[in-house]
Amino acid sequence: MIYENPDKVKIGLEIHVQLNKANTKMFCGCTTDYTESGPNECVCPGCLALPGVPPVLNQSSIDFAIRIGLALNAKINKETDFYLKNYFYPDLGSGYQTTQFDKPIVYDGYVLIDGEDGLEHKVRIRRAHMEDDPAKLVHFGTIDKSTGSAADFNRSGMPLVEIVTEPDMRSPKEVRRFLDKLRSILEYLDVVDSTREGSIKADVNVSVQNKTRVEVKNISSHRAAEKAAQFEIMRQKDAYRKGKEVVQETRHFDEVRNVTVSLRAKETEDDYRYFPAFDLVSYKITDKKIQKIKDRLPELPDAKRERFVKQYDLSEALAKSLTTEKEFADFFENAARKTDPKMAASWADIIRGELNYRDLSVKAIKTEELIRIVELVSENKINDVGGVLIVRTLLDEGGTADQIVKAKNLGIAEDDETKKAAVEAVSENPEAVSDYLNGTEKAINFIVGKVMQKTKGKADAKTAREMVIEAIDEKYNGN
Amino acid sequence: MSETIKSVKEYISKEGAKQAFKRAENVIKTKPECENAIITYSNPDFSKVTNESGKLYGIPIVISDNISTKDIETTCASNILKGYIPPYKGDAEQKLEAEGAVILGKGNINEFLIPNAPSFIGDVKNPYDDKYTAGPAGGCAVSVLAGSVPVSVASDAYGAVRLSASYTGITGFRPTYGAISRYGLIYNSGSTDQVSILANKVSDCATVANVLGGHDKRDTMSLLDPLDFEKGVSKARKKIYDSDLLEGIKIGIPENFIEGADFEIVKNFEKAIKIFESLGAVCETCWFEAAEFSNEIHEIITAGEASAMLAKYDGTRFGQRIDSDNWHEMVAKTRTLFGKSVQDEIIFGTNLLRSKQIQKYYMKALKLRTDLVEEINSLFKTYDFLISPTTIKIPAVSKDLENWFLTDKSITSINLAGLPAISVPFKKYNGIPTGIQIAGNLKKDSDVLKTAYIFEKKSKGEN
Amino acid sequence: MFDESYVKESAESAHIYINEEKLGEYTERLNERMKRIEKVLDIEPKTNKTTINPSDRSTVLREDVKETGLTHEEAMKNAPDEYEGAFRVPKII
Ligand SMILES: [Zn+2]
Repeated sequence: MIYENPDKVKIGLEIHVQLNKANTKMFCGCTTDYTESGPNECVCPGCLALPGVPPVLNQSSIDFAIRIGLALNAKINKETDFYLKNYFYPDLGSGYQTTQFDKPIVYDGYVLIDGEDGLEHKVRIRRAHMEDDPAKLVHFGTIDKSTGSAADFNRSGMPLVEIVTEPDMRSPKEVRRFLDKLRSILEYLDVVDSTREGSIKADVNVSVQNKTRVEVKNISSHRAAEKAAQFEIMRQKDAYRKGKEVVQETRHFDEVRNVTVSLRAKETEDDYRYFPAFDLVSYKITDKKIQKIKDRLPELPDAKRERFVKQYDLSEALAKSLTTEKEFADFFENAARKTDPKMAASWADIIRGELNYRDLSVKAIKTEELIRIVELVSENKINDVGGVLIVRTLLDEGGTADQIVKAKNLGIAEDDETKKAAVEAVSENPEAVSDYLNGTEKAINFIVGKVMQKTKGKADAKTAREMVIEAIDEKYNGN
Repeated sequence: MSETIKSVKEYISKEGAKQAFKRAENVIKTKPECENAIITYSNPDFSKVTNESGKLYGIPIVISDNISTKDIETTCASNILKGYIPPYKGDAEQKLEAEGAVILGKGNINEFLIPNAPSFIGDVKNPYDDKYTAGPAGGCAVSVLAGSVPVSVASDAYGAVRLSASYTGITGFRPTYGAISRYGLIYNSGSTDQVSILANKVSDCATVANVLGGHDKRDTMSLLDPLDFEKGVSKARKKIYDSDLLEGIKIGIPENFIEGADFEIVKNFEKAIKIFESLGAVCETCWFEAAEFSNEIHEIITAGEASAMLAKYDGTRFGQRIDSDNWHEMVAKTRTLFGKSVQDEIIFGTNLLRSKQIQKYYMKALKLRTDLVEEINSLFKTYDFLISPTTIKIPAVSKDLENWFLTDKSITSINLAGLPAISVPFKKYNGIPTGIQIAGNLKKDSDVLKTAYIFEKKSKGEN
Repeated sequence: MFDESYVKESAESAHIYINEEKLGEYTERLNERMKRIEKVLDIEPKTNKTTINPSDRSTVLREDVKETGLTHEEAMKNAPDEYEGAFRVPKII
């Protein structure tokens, strides 16, 4: 089935990626790791824009940008240069942002996502360019009723790559999928730690029915991007239905109310007076350099997924779930090498669910524990319920799988213990038994549940079921 | 070969750095021609002047006020920067101190060195005729002329160093773009400005250039291979120079550098040519077509760059602030602390970069700059040097500085191409000194200095 | 010839406050300045290649190695106004 996109929704994104995995800022030697520092503690005369400091371009910002370009199936400009974008704002110390203009380092690429119709959908990348991040402003009071602000330049000069897509996304869900996929790729490339606040930000451009394009800014999460697109589509459709026009403008996303709001319309269009950055002559990128970076590119999510499907005989869905995060994929694969890969995959997926639920990273659990759980289950020392309990206890309280098995007495119940529980359950629940005997097959599950309760989940479910039927037969049929 | 520095050093080794400093300070504070020469005096810690074997041990030096000096107020001669105390050392300060030099103070300049922008403390008058200015780096030039310091380190934006040298009868040397680090240089025009040197003697320029030169990874334009300003000439050339001659050297005289010059200036210049010829050089007039528009493209490019570089003065992180309850208004009011000419420069540059203007002027100027650079390359295939009067105009009338504009092709074309050039004093015009400019090809700094040295020697007594 | 509103726009863009009654003077000076450079309008460059800097090499890159910057005290030393270690500014819009 081909997705028809009845409202002709077209969504494009501009994604700002902070290259915080570089050691230093874009034009100075200040650290990019300022999260634990107080305001203006990670600055130098350069990023503070004091008079008299020329910019010197960080090698990593170029390398990272090329890495991103290659991973986005894009072309790399053989000669790239910088422009100055001039405007006044308290977070912009120098009064200009150093950015790129008509020779972006990366252009003409694409990312494949799962489309609305379940088919593979191509989102084209128009370009990706380098620029530097402004400082951080904290406003006193609310944005519209501010009484002032304070500027912290720790973030000033952080290297950024801005990725611009074509308006190829046809629904908010595709926006979400694109962003998830992009984040996954960027994490694989080891250019960004996306857990850091504001490390990936997106502007969303939305139009419907091939009409006015509206830009929504100030979006800090994938969920928010999806919500903003949802609201904008609704708002624009609504306007056209009522015969109104949609104004071409920049709107602001209010994350609390999940709505986009119009920023005060400016009288004149901003003129940023872009002109060539005279301190940074153009940078020539050789094929050799590109090849060198290509050779060192890690295996990317799509390739890894395909390999997992083939190598470990996993389903597409499971392989995809395991490969979304690189660290998690490694976590699984390290276990798969030492134990049954298919079991390791399904247990890894369970662990992933529990980690997500707790908002924990994969660092919270060691590969050895995954291996041990797989061993315990496959040797029939614990059952699935016990396995899940181990994972939860491990994440909540710590310890090792073996310690938890012992402490919580999770070993699989001996047959006579199950037998005893089955006999008790049958005599304590005559109604369920009579339902069963009258042909309600499902009633048996209720009694099996009671057996599990009595054995604290240690009983093997299949054995318990057999023993319940046996107990009923003994009691009512006299066998 | 440095002469003045050597004599000062000998004096220092007997009396100590502190006395030398006192003497320098005394000269500048008492000689009437040094009025306004220094914006801020330093308060050096002599316990830190320990490198007795340093090339500049104990030598007092004036640094122009558009070069960052740690803990010494740096204002660029502008009200907007009044009270600004840099928390870091510029490269010039670092290197001078490492060789044992002592900073006497910050030399007065035009506001942000802009040609028609008077310093906020007042212009430095020309010692030969106080109706006229001593030049855009007047404070630096006058402190050398008065004998307070043997050298001053300034920058040659808009030809400030060469013009000031010419006006005051001293020597001003601008090295190849990138040969001396710009780290700490507060430039408006990053593509034309260059740390430069004012001194009494050519040889002193060379010595100090060698101290300041070398690769600095903090300046992206810094040359990767350091130039040797004193001994960087080729073997074949060395032989000629060592005999104090210019045998076989080919000198081009761009006819259009002299166009419009007063008869007397031309006459003086012809005498200079005679000296070069008497030294064995072959002098030949030539036409430098691209220089025909070098003033205009220099004006466009420097103003465009300045409009961006001067944007950081917004009263937010340093410098003066005029309060208002709205940030944008605060900035706009604070920026009225720039003098009138600087404001004009910024508005002029801003307008040139506006999207409706940029192709017409700025981008076109950048293309014409390519023409200029290419023509220079071909000129240097024929000639070793280009010579001319440093300027064909008399200095600006001090009180009328705001109406003065830079219109010397000999200055603007060299700056656009980043060439090394030196102004050597030669004769006077209307009682005010004039200079001869010798410009060389990129990185031929040592050749320029040697040639200037030989000319200086030969023309002795003709000032 | 630029009119006063053009000059006003440019000054606003450059964040330089001009008193209304002085606008005429600024306009006059800017127009004089434009006249001085009008020559370039008639010249055709021989090339389409721009020269933004006398340096003809590829940009020199910096190794991605951390360097010591300013102490917090040094960074704030010249601050006209401060709030809890950051630069305080009045409201922006
Ligand atoms: Zn920094």
